[in-house]
Amino acid sequence: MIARIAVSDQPRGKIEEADKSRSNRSVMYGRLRRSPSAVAGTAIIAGFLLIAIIAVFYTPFDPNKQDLRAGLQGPSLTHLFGTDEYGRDILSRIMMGTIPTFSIAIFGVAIGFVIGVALGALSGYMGGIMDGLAMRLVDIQLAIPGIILAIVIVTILGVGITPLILAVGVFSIPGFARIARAGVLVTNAADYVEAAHSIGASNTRVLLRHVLPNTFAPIVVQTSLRIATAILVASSLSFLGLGAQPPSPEWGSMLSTSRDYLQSNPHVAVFPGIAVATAVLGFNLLGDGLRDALDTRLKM
Amino acid sequence: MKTEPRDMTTNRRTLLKAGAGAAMVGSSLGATAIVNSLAAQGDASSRIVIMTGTEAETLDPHLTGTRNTQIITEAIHSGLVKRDVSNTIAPDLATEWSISDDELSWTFTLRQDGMFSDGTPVHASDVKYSLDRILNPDNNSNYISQMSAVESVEVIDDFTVTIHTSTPFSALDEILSDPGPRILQEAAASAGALEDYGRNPVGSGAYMLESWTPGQSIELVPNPHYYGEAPKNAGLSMRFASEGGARTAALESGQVDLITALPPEAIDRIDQSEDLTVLVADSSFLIFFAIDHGSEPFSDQRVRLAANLAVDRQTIIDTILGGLGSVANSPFGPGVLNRVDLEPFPYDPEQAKQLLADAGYADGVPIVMWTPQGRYLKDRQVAEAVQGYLSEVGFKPELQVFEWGTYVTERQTDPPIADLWLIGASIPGAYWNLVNNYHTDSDYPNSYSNPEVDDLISQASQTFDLDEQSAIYAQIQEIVFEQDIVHLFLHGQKQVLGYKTGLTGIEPLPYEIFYPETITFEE
Repeated sequence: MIARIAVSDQPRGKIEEADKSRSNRSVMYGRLRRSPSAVAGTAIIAGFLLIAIIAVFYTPFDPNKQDLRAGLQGPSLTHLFGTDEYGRDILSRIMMGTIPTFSIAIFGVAIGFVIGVALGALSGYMGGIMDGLAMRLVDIQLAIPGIILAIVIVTILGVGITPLILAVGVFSIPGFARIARAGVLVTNAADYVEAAHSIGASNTRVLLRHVLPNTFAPIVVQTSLRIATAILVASSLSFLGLGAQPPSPEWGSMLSTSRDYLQSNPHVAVFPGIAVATAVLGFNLLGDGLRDALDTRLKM
Repeated sequence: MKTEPRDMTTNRRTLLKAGAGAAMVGSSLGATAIVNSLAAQGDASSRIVIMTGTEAETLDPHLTGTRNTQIITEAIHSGLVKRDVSNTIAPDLATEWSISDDELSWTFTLRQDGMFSDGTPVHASDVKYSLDRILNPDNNSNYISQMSAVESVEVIDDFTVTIHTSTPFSALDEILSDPGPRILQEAAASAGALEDYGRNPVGSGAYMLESWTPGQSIELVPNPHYYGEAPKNAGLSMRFASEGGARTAALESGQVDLITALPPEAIDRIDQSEDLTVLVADSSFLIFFAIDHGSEPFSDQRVRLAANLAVDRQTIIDTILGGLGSVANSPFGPGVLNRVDLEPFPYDPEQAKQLLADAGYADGVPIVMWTPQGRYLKDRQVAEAVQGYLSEVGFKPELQVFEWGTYVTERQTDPPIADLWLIGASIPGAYWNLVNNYHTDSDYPNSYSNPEVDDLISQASQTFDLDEQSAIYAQIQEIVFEQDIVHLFLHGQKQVLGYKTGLTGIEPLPYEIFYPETITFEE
């Protein structure tokens, strides 16, 4: 334990960097493997990704094929999850729905990640007016509840999957910007950064090679947790009719259309609900596991 | 004047005996028992809480065509004439009226005791002001095209008014009986901008507006100066929820006393509850997708026919509507005066595919469909089912779902963005129904224009001979339904209301409004 702490607390000297980071990495993987939540989270996410890949090639039924006379059937051997009000196979729709749901969350968070980290890192590294300006912008955005901001964006850009991705992206920027800036501020004060400056490394090089890589731990954790939130936001917006449009099997819109049958045929709502909950749980567990594995202070 | 048949109200059990609705596949989980809040049960002195599927856009009767909204505007306003609960044109502010020998002037005698809610009398000048307000093209009233034959309104004295028409116009009383052309107080309506009146209406109906909290409720209290019998309840609290499930839950939990458009899947459950009652009544609503004739692919008659052949209407009725509808066999909804029964479109997907191929769309054709949510019985679900059927035969439909307030504005976009948009028409008279939905100057820009139809509509409105009218209307129906295939015709719907057992006096009219003044809890 002590040795491990010593390793990760040691500043990464330029010469030793490769060795040290390898040992850091192996320590991290070791911790990840031993973290039950990380293992469970990874398994759940891998499971969904596998389902998404399978869904491209195979679903038990055509997810959009309607057969009204076979509507609202409860779970059976033919339809494991039953059928919805249009007689569509719910299992097939949930499988196919993995793709839009995960696409919105992952691409949305990717946008937030790139813009947020760039903004946060620059403002933390440069300081001064740039910092003040960027952080006030982030403050303004944080003052507006995320879901309302996302609704505004979707209202301006129109409904559909692409606007939804952008909405999730914009919605994710402040979180990444704050965390990146905080990480950069801490790392900036480290001796090895000063050392890098002193041997004449350029600002770009110092920021990209020395500062950013050492701020990544919390950002990675944030990414996983953010994807979980993004799935919820995307589902909420689709639930409100602002996201995926019919007949897309996006989980939120499946939940939305099942509302009318909550009392008469609850299975229509239960299965997409379980899908959303499980996916969110998966990313949250992974995020927790990553935080435990990457944050040395927690282990002390 | 012909009267229309009294709307037949049946209860759910009768319907079930008839076997309708049996196709709704019951889940093994069955009906969930809900404990009703008996504490919320009111008495004659309490306000009736009513929940509909859409919030009022405005309370200006000249600027809305939404039936749900008109339940409120009718409660606040009176007209020269109105329809009574048997759907017959009856006196309201006008006690009697006569038509001049040349058939160009209608003279109405107003009642002396008509009073606005602020206690001022209703004068002929208010009638002239109100009708001129509709006729002013700047005001974009929903009723201007129907009243195009009206040339001028003349005040004879305080209680006599004459309407002059440019041609004989037999449909005038039919039009004046609609909830649209109501009499507003000139002082209130001319005080501010056009839109202001819809927030602060002053009418001479049974109720007056107490408060409107947007997004929550519209509160009405009895108008102490109303000329007629005072309402049997202490007032109305109008709520709304676009989701059928939400309305049902509000009824079951005792928060509201009466809901409209009870969803079919909840009927059995509500009917089994002793504390709640289901009312199924006829509706003159015809549900259809209006078609944009002005652009490809639907400018081609074969494509319009293909769409009409692609949809299995009976299955939609049996499943999604729970049996509460009838396959469209006329451009008019059930019960519309002068309606003729034509041959409904068969379900023939193979011929539909062939027609699309003949029209040059063998590889499929993308189209845009719009639907509101919460306005008509299961509207979004019906639209999604139609989307499924259309995609089976080669259309590539993209469906967009709108909240009602946005929908009524967006669907007026000219030229239309959508190729197909869902509409329900419930006008009980043939003339107005045709002008609204089949005339070149129809209520929405669908680019359908057939000079022969326009001409026939004018002819029918210019004759006072009922047989001649019927013959012309029959001819028009054949043209728009069979020859021009103006819309993607779907079905006539039933109206379903749910309410607390013990509530009496609910008498829905076929165009899905009701007069709330008679509603009360039994002693």
